[in-house]
Amino acid sequence: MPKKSTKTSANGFSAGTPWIYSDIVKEHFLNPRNFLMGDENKYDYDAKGIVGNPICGDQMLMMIKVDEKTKKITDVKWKTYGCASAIASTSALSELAKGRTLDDALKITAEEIEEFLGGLPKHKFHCSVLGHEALASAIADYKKNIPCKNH
Amino acid sequence: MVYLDYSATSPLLPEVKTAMLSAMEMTGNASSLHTPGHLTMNIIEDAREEIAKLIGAKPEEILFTSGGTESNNTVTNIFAGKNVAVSAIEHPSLLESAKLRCNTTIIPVDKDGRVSGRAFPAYDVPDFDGETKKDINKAHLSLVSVMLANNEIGTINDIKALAKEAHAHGALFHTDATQALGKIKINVKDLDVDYMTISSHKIGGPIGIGALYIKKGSPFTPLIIGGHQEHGRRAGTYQTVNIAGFGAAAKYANNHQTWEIYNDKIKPLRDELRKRILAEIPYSSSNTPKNHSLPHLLNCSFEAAEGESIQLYLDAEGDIIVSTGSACASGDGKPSHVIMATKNDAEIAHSSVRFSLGLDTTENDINHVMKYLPGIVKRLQGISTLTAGKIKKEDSYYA
Repeated sequence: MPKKSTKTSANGFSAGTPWIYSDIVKEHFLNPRNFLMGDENKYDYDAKGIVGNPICGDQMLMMIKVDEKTKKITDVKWKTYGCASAIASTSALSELAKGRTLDDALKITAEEIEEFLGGLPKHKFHCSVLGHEALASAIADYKKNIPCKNH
Repeated sequence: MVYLDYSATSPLLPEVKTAMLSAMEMTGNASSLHTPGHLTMNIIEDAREEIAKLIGAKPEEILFTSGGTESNNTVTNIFAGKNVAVSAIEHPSLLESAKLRCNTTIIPVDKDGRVSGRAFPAYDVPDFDGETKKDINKAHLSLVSVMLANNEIGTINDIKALAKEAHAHGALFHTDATQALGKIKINVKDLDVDYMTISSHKIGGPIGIGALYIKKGSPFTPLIIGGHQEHGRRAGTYQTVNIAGFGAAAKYANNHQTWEIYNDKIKPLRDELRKRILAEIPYSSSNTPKNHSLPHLLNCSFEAAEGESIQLYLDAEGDIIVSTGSACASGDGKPSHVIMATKNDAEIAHSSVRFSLGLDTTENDINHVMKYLPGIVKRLQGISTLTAGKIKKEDSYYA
């Protein structure tokens, strides 16, 4: 019965077929940016934040690298136990946050992410703010422990 | 497309389309006494006979409804204000309407979703000798409802034994056979149930039509009132086209004895999928019991991988259509109440995927799933905040 074949891209995620979400959500779901595959301790981050609860069905971990002088976020990695919207919106957020100062990154709103993605179904709003909350938590963690690495 | 969501709804059978198109040519209101009305009523009564035959009932014991949800609501409405007991894994249309209307006790299930008659709530068995003057409806259990087969995990309950136990409690018995219809042989007289819910669109018929079997002489109160249709038991103009479609689907099941095909051809494919998932996908487990389960259904969990993401990657990458018990897909933010009642583990529920096979599922379809599923699960486990392997369970990858 299978009729279609799909090509798998280098990162293992693939280009796909017609879909229910916007093209941008689909693109970020199928080719998520800045996720971390495997053990988080292998990534040399400066601060991290984790929000959500697997009992409730989703959890998000954000890790950031920060330039000490400029206070700019130089790199972002994330991991999630979450749904398609959480994956897509966190992928988008990671792109938006990179290169911004910590204070600027904090100003990114859930609405901005949603707009960037071209809209999400209403009941998916919760999933899209998860990455946002995790980023805020990571920034708070950085501000609390500025000189420390890999705590 | 590899469609493995037949338990959500099944495609219309060609025979059903033909019957429906033919019924669309009819103009009469089936309740009218003129010739077109009579001809339309003939279509309805022919359909009723096929549907009755499919479950071993008499035609007059079949009440047409708009589907399983209305049939279940009709039953709980009959027992409004009375003591009822329903299993923890009933469909929400039974569970929620019983909780709203009746004094409802939830009967717990075991880890496979099986109900024991010993778990029925203890009420006084009514004294029918006329000695007691108390209101027996308030003093005893009036109705027990346990679904014949569960829609999420496929567990089949021993309805014959449970109905017997309910009757010994002085209660009537209802079973929701929506998922079981056509998949296993059903006979209402053998099961000795008083009410049974069935639906058309799970057996290749149209959506929007179902039926309630009401054993002759059983108490009845109409849910929808204001018309004489169905002998005053369900008001509303007959949906001739949908009823014709349901009748054609029932006829197909009767003529082909579809339960035999499910057992001989589809069950081996389901078993193969189960075997391969548990052998090839680390941290997978089955939520569908090996025995006492529908032949076409398999529910598996993939630890640390979220169910909705698995569902959507299967859809987008492999053109494979399944469903999930994850909260993210449910619309109400809650994990599957069925997996919570059986496994009592929210992570297992959020990570669950249901595969439901149909009569035209082939071995190629199973191979196609196994081409995509292991990689998708592995990737999601790789980016997960959870570490797979914490939970060790029997009947899983570890076994």
